[in-house]
Amino acid sequence: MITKRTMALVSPALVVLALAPAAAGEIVGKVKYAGNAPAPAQIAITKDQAVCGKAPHLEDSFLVSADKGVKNVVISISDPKDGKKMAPAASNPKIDQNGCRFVPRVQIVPAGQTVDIVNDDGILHNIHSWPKNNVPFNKAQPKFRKVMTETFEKPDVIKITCDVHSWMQGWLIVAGHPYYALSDDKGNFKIADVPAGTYALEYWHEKLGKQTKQVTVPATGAVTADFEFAAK
Amino acid sequence: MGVVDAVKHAVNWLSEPSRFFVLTVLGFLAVVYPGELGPAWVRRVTRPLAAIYKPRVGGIVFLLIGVLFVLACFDPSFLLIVGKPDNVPIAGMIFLVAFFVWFALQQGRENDRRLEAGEPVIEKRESGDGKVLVWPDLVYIEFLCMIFWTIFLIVWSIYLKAPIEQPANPSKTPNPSKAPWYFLGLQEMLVYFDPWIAGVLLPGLIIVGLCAIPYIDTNRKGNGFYVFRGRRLEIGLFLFGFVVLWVWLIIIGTFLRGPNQNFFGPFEPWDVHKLVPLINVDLSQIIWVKLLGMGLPKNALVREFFGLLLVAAYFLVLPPLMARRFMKGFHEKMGPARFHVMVLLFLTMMSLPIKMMLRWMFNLHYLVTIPEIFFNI
Amino acid sequence: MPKTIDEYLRKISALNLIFAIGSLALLAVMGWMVYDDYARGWKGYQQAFVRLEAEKTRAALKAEQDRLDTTGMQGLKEELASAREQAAQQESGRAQAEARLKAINLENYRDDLSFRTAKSTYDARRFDYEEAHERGLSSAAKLGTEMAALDKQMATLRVRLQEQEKDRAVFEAQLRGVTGKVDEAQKKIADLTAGIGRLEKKLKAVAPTGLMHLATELLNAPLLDFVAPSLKIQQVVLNSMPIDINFTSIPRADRCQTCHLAADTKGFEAEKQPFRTHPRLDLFVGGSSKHPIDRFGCTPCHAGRDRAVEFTYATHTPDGEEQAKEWEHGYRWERDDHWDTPMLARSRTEAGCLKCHQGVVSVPEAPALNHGVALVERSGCFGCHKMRGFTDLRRIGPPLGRITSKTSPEWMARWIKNPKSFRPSTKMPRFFGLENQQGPGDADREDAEVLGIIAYLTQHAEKQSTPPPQGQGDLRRGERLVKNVGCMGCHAIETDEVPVEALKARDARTAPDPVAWQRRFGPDLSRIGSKARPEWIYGWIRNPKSYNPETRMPNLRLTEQEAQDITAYLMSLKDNTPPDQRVAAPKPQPEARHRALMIYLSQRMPPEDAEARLKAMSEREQDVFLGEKTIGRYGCFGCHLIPGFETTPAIGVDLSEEGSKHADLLYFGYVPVAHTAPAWFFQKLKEPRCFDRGKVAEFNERLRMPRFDFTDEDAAAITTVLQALTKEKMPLESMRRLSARDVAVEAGRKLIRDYNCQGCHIIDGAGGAIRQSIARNLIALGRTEDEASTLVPGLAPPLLEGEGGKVQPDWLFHFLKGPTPIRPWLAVRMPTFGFTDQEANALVHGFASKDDLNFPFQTLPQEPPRGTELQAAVKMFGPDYFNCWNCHQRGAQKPSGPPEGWAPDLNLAHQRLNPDWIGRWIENPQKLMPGTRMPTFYDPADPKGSAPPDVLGGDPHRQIEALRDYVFTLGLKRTGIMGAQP
Repeated sequence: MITKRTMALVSPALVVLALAPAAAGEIVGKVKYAGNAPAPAQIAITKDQAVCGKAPHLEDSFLVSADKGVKNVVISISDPKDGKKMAPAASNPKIDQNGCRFVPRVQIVPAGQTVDIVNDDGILHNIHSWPKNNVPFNKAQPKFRKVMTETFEKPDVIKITCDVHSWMQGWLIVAGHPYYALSDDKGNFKIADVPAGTYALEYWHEKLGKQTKQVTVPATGAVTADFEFAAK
Repeated sequence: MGVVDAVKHAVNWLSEPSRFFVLTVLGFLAVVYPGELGPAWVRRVTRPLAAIYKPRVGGIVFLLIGVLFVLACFDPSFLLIVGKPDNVPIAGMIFLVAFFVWFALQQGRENDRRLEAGEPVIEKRESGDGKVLVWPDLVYIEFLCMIFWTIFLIVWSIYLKAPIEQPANPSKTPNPSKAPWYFLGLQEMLVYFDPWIAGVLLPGLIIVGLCAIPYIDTNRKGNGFYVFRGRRLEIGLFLFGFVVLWVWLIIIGTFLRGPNQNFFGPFEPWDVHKLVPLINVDLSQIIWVKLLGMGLPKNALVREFFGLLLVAAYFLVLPPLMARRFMKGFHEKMGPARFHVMVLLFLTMMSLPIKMMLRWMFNLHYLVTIPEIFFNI
Repeated sequence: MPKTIDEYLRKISALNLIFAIGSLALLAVMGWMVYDDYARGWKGYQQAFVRLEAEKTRAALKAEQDRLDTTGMQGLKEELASAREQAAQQESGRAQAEARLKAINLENYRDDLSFRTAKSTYDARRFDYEEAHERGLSSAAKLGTEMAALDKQMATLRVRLQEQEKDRAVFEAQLRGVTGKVDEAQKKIADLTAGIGRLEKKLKAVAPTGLMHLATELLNAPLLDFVAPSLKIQQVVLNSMPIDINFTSIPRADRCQTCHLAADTKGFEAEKQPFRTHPRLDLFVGGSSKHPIDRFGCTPCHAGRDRAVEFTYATHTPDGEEQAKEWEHGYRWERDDHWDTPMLARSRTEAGCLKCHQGVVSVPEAPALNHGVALVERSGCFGCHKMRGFTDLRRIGPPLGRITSKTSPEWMARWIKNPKSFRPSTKMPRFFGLENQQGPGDADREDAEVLGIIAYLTQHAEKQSTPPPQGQGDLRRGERLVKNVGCMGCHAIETDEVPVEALKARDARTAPDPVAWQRRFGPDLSRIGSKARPEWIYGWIRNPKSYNPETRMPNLRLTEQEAQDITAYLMSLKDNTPPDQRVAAPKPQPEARHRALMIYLSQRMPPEDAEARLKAMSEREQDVFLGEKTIGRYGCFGCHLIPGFETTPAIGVDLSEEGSKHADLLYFGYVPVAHTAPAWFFQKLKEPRCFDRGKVAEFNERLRMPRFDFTDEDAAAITTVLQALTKEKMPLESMRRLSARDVAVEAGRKLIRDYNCQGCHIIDGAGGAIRQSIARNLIALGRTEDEASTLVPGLAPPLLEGEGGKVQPDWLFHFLKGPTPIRPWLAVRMPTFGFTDQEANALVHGFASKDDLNFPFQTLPQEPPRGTELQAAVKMFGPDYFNCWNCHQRGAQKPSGPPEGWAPDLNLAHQRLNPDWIGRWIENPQKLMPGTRMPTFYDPADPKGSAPPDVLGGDPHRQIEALRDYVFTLGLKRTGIMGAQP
């Protein structure tokens, strides 16, 4: 459901896009990890074996592909010149609690977005958010509440945990502007139609922390902004 | 810079009360009687001073003093004291008194010259037959003075606000705490004399003395116009009492008496923590203990014998002596009664500077002190 | 014979000229005088403010108009126009109606008049009639008939009037039918433009135009401004807070608002002074605030000269040098020493709070002041100085009566000479080797003095034989214990916790202490192994009170083994500063000692006697004697209980009214600081001995205050406290009076502070310092900071927000006296503080009062749930619903998973918790305890929607009640529902 307000926010953005499609390039790149990645550890399932134990649990907080591409790195421009807002998703994005893990582990949603929190496990979970700018909450989601919704107003990096299953962890990146991207399994990412100019590009990863790098985006075409996290 | 400091230092050194007082007296004599007093060499040295009674020279001298005063104001501590709104009038007073004294003496000498030369005195020449009309010649002038004085006062009151301080506070008393400027002379006397003398006897005698002047001084010379030669002693005596004692005391009381009633040089910052040794001894102690080396006698009269002797001698022996010796002429001219009243007043007046010098030089506290009956001299 | 003109002494024409000039000049000067009296600074400010207000109003007006244009103004206008047209078409009808109305009104007026005449005549006649009738006059009959006639006339008139009313109503309705729409439209427009009208009116008032403008100008003109000027002095007169002018006290008349015109008005926050709005209108100045200006004025808090309307004269006090400069230029400011209570500098305004807010642990919203007070308490200033509000506090230092059993003389020497060289974070200030003891021979004498003190202490020390620990302690286990059992709530091991740079910065006083305030309650343990004897540590941690009955150190109920382990670990924490960097050990200095003792003695006896006296003493005796003298001189007994000095009075100046001290009662010596009391305080706190510079004095006549090495912030905070300690007495009715509740709360707060409860618990939103170290432990175990921050709440001691409402007073009392574990799986323990009944009660009462709980008695529900309720509760406890046992312990039955995920044993609930708290807790835990890990089952936004639909008809309230009652029966034998397993 798109509220009137978001509509109001979006329409000017659309207009701008319509007016100046020329002066926009894109940023593509690959995020790598210098050291050799730790083999994903097995997570000890200490509770609700019946449900959580179904699928084997591997530590997925730090996934590195064969060619050292890092997954789940959030790439974003720290200071976009234009006042654009990220367009809200057509349908609410999901945080699915499936087999006692948050799926997806990391995802980017626009500010003001309402998110569906789904409990597919049919056991008690509780969603405990650890925001910096938004209102923190800690809500139980028993079996009979399949879906809960939460709205995140301010740009933020929010850790999400479940106090019942201490190993569960997820991340919600609330984006203030459109220029965000999430690296895929290979560590590749792409930010489309970025206004030409020089930006500080931020690479954030839950385990590796935040790094920045200068990029200059051409009026047309793409700029490659590969990045390599130093070994820990 | 060094020079300036040296000068300031010298001035401070000279303004130590005893030195300052001696200087004042000598300066006073030299200026009032240039080349007329003391041994030949002194006369020779002081004679040139007579020149200041030439209007131009006098003018220049005053100008010089003024300039020095202004220069002195560049010193912060000096400016602080002189610039205090309630001290400004006294600073002004120094100049006014100096000027009018000078003016009177100058006119007197001029007239002396004219009388010698057989010319009419200034006042005579001004007013033809010695009379002028009250209106307009007198009243109009007075009226104009009034107007201009009012203007001056208003401007002054606009520029210098009344120096109002905080509500009286027992835990924060003004230091130094001083009498109003016109009483500073009295306050100063209190330092050297017992209250009943400084506060009652002397002020009383001052008034009596002033009233008595016309009856003592029957010398008709120079009535109606300035004159000096005819009444050198009279003028000298009066000026000594007025300028050297009264005004001078007011001046040091205002500018040199700092926190805790300590003396400070004009260029010395008023430091609350300055300490000066103050061990005063009585005459009896000096004689019985210091000189004769025996303890103080029990009996008050015996103890104070010498003091009483001294005081008695001062008031009983001196007058006849003067009558016979140095002031013979006066004695004859005035007759014993007048003469002795005059001498008594004179001696009383002189007792102040004498006591001051004794205090400064020998830390003498009292000549006679009989606390048993609250009697101290 | 009269003189002729040419014989005048002076030329009259000249005099006339002078006269003319003179009188003109006089006139001019008079004018000047009047003007000078008229032109006051504050008038300038008021005019400026009028301009400011005017332009603000104009801006608002503009905005309002713009708003109108966007809203449906246009539409309304059209509506009006059309309405008018319609009305015009029915013109004829209207005219007719109006004509009829006119006629009716005229008639009505006439009839009404005659009616009233008739009535009054009637009344008069009646009176005559009664008179006549009474006296039996013949005229009575005649009068009677007249009355009857009048009565009739009145009746007819009354009828006609009523008819007229009816007709009028009819025609008016008719008329309205025609013009109604128009009026409606006009009304709408009026409503819409009401805002504008108001603003315009205000503007007219603020910036009058035309004739009014001229009038105000005239009223403010010189000489006329005595009538009713618009520029006038604004003042608040406060009879309830008089000013003491030493010999009498007069009502305060605060005239600050004469220039600070917007102090109590919103909307001027961004303006330059003096027109800025006072910050926090909700708290100060504002009419609805706790300190409304008409009751509290300005100077009771800010101090300063109340009646002044001129910048300098109001004794504005600059906050630092640059502001002073700025003011000297901007306002021709200069320091005015002629007021006993000059205004407080901005950064020290909080000093004004204390005179009314007394008997409280902390003044709300006054951080600097509170910090200062805390510092004074922690640094033990009151040990040497009497200070109002800091009386009968216990000595902050340990008693030295048994010092020998605790540590060695070597260590004592090093410590006394320079405590911070051994423990940089210590509260103990430095007495020796300071700037005013650097003269020839001073060093030797101080060595002698130090040895003397040690000699004295060892001489008088009572030997306590602590049994050495049996068997060996395990270092590792000990470390784990120290770091987990709770020691870290009050202690730190900084060398182990904090990076070296941070410590360096702290020692250089360039950075604040990296360790939390509460964890400085006890000494830092970094080098404890080089200080204390193992058997002492063992005895001490087993039972602190046996060594020092007064100590705040609680008993952690350690087993012998645990105590040994801890001892082993603590002993391993050695000082590793290389010997060449340590403080040189003092050498015996017989000559220096002799000289010193001679100086002491010869104050009381002639030198030769003194010599003789010393000869009679042995070396040791001389040492002890010098020690006694030195302890007496430096007042060590202010902080330490020292045998022989138990009752010696404090050595310092009484600071109870220090804030009212005048600068000229303070000795500034040759130190170049501003000659104001605050500057002096600050300087003294930073360099206590500096005012001895350039002074000549025997060693025992020099300044004695030790150096605390305060940071600038700390020194400033303490200065604030000193400034707050004035002799100003506020009348009771204007002071903050504590209600019975507040008194209880404060009593509790005081204990919470004294026992450093906030070292472990978060209370009143502060504390929980131990979490710092718990997090470190987790990270040391390989967790990331994020994970640690998530886990800490589960492992830390509980928050005590709302504890009073949560637990039963009775339970809390017993718990405080003898703690029993609630979360057995936690490593950290609630220690036994050995509270007296009085203290325990005060704490319980304090907590209860804080949550407005009736104390001490309350009823608990005794009726266990039955039937549907019971089934419902059990059901909701089940895994398909709230799955409570997933985390909550139940007697012996522990939850699965790692302990940090566990929650308290619900079997204890019935004796521990308040039933209605349980209800509120289940309803919304986050509200009662923000950040708790108890999930919210009932979404506060929509409880119904989030409640289990198939239980008790999905009614959240009934469900919660059922749950509550169920929880309350758990663990109860007699209810007999123990068997009701989920």
